[in-house]
Amino acid sequence: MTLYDEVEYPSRSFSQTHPERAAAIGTLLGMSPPPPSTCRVLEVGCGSGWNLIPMAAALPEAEIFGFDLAASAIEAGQRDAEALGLRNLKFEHLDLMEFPAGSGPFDYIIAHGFYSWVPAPVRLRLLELCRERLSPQGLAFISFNAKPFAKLRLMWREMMQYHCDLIGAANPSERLAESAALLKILRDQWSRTRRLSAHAKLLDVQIESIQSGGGNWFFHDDLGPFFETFSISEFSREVGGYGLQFAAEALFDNLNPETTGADWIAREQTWDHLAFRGFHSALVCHGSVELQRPAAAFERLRYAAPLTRVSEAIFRNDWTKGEAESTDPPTVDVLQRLGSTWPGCLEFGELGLEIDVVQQLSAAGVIEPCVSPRLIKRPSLSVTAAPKVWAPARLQARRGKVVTNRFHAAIQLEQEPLRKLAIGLDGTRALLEFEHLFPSQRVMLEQVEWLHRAALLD
Amino acid sequence: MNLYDVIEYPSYAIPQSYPDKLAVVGTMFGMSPPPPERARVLDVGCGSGGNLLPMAMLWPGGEYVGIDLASTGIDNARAKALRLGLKNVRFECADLMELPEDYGKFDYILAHGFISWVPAPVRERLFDVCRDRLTPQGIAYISYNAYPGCHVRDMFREIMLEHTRGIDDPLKLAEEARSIVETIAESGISTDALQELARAERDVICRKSPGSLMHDELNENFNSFYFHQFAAMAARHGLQFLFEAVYDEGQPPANLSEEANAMLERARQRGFQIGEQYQDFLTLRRFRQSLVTHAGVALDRESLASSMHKFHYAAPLQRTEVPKGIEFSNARTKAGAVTPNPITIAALDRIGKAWPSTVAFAELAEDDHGRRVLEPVLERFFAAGLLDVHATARVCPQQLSDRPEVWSYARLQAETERVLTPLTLTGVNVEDEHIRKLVLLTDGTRTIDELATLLGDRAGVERGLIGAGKMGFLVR
Repeated sequence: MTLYDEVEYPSRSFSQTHPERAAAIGTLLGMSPPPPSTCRVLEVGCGSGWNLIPMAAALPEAEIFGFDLAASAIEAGQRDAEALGLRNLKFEHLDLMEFPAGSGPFDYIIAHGFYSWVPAPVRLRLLELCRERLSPQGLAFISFNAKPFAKLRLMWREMMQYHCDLIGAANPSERLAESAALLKILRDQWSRTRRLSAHAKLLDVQIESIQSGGGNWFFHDDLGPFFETFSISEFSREVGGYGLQFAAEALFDNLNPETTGADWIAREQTWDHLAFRGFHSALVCHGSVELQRPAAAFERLRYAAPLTRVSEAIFRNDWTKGEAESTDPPTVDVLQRLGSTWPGCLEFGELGLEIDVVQQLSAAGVIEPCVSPRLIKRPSLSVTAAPKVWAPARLQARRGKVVTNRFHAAIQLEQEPLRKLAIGLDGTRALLEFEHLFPSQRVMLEQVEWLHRAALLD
Repeated sequence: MNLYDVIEYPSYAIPQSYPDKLAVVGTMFGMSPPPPERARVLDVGCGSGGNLLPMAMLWPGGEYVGIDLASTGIDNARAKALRLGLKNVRFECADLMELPEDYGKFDYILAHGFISWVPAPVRERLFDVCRDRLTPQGIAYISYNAYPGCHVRDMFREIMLEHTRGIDDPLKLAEEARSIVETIAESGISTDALQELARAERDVICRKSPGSLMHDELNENFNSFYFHQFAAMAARHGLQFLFEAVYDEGQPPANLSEEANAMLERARQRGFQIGEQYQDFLTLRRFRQSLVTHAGVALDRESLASSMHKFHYAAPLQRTEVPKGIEFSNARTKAGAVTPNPITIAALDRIGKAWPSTVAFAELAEDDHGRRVLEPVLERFFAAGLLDVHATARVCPQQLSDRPEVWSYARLQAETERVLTPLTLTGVNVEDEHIRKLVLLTDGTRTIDELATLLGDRAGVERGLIGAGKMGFLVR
């Protein structure tokens, strides 16, 4: 029985862990990553599997494997995978230290929220696993708490631990409640003192996330037995010791164009300091792979963007809120086209933009580079049509407001009628059946359009 | 040779470590501390004697020993002691790990900026020395970097170290370190709160001299401790926490929220030291100056005001009439208080007028009633940082004499240094060449007329001397 059996760690999808993301960034760095559609994925510490379930559903020809030390989580994942009829997905209750020889190789290995939260031997075993089981052009996603700014969380953690130990809060729910109460008192007191007002604001963010349902995550992330922090230089040296190399951050806006040359890790480190980064989502590959820096092979990718024209010259990405401003007719035209093509994508050649413009738009979160084509048909918007919300999201919608779309992004279904619609649209029922949920037919059809743009329709 | 030989650590008087202040705190908590004017004092890591030399001058009846590993500082300290004709102080280039037995016992042991900057065995050794060498009612002053607040300092230390790796020249290193912190503070690519945090840290770091920076944040050793860890260390060595050396720094924050106050109360019920720890959480404390005594010494934490009649009081007070009475504010600490009570007003007026001299308690109250009223009031004002409280009197001239004299210690400093130490012990940065010249010439042999002739500015000389008197530089 692990702490993760005792207190559930609600698992969800993280788009930055998807092979599509790793492949896009690897491609930009001059690699030839295995095509996501037919790849082999391993997730270490997959919890109840909701990072892998939508992935397996979106990549039916990929082979996907996840394991975890918490038996109850694995059982839940297996039940859901079975209910969705996913044959390309396997979950196992397993200790990383006893990972069977002979399995693999894997093209993509995912270890999210793992590295900083396990004892050193387990952490190093993960690197060993990557060295032994990652395919030659494969990529591993490893996230960790970054020095120096994760020290703030460490500071909060130490106070909470002292407090809980002192008052004898032994069971998890008590520790969580007592910790949250302590943080609130500290935040309120700090906010009364000018010198500490910045600390109050920083703590505010944490308290809000606990209050808005993130309590269980917080319990494991910040109150668990381990909370290690690493600077990117330390991380880079550690993976280097296992024949691996830090390739890049798994976020496009962090593809720092200045990180080039022999001392690029030092520059990346400086960047961490300037940006106050407290968390890393690192992509790691074999040390023997030759990478091109700065990442520039934008011509090898496709581009997608849910863009809305918010004014004459400004386009905004509905999801990332990244904005582009242009009055140059060809640029305006291509941004318009990207917006109307969404959730489909355009080839680099169809953009007709210079590489450095594409680089800037990607870094600003305006457009998203991708590897695989996105073929999504517009639904017929008539009340007799029977559109289908893709199966993983239908299952998720029954349980809560957050669902995963076909590109692995987490989507909020805030309004109750929308959630009911998402549960019901299984491809057999005509829209007519749902009309009563909405004030008018027009409103309902707008919601269907919204589901389409959220890439939730099959 | 060690780093302290290459870059000297600026060595100043630390007034809060002076025996007459430690004795006040000890007495308030029910101890009978050794008389400060005849005490044996050990200063561990004494540098160039900036803390011990003025002390040895103030109380010729005491005996002072300063030790340090860096011989440059010891040489400087000895040279100054010689120039000042001090016979009651000795400076030794000695290792705390091998402190000779014949140094004897000490009434007060001072370790400022020490335990956070030495390796663990040396830290442990300091507590051993306190246990073995402190007289039964002796008090040790130990300052250290405190958690939780020092996590923020740790962050910026890491950043500075990362960016200065490979630089050998200490001055260049310090400059490089400051420049990266400056860049981060103004990078403008993060959230407002983090940026605010960085700016506040920049303000601290960039105000420091290269020497301080090298020896503090950029030191090879930079250890911080939670208060509970410090208290446990002391307990392991047969010692106990007495209180903070700076009485007002031991008090809970004045603007406590109701919930915070309730939490603090619950913590205190579990133990005095637990309350101290929560206080540090609520203020994100980053530095402590703690006093320790032998574990066997009985302490009384309940009747703090009952000793106030034993002390001397001083403060640079300004008075303003307000609707609710008189508002007094301390020009140095910025602490303030309003009182309508005539007894209190008279006492504070007396203290304000006497500055920089102290006033004995007996002179503050007319009668028994006044004394009973004043004791708790003075304790509260002490706690609020409004007043300085001493175990011994400080006497400074109330008027300019015919042949004024600046304290010889400050005159010696003025020959080579910028920061001069008055009798009040709070260093004063003197940038103006004329003032320094005036300080050097005002040695008690010259009349004001002669000084005016020598310096060619009568008005300036008079103004300078009056100012020097107010700051506590004059002994005559």
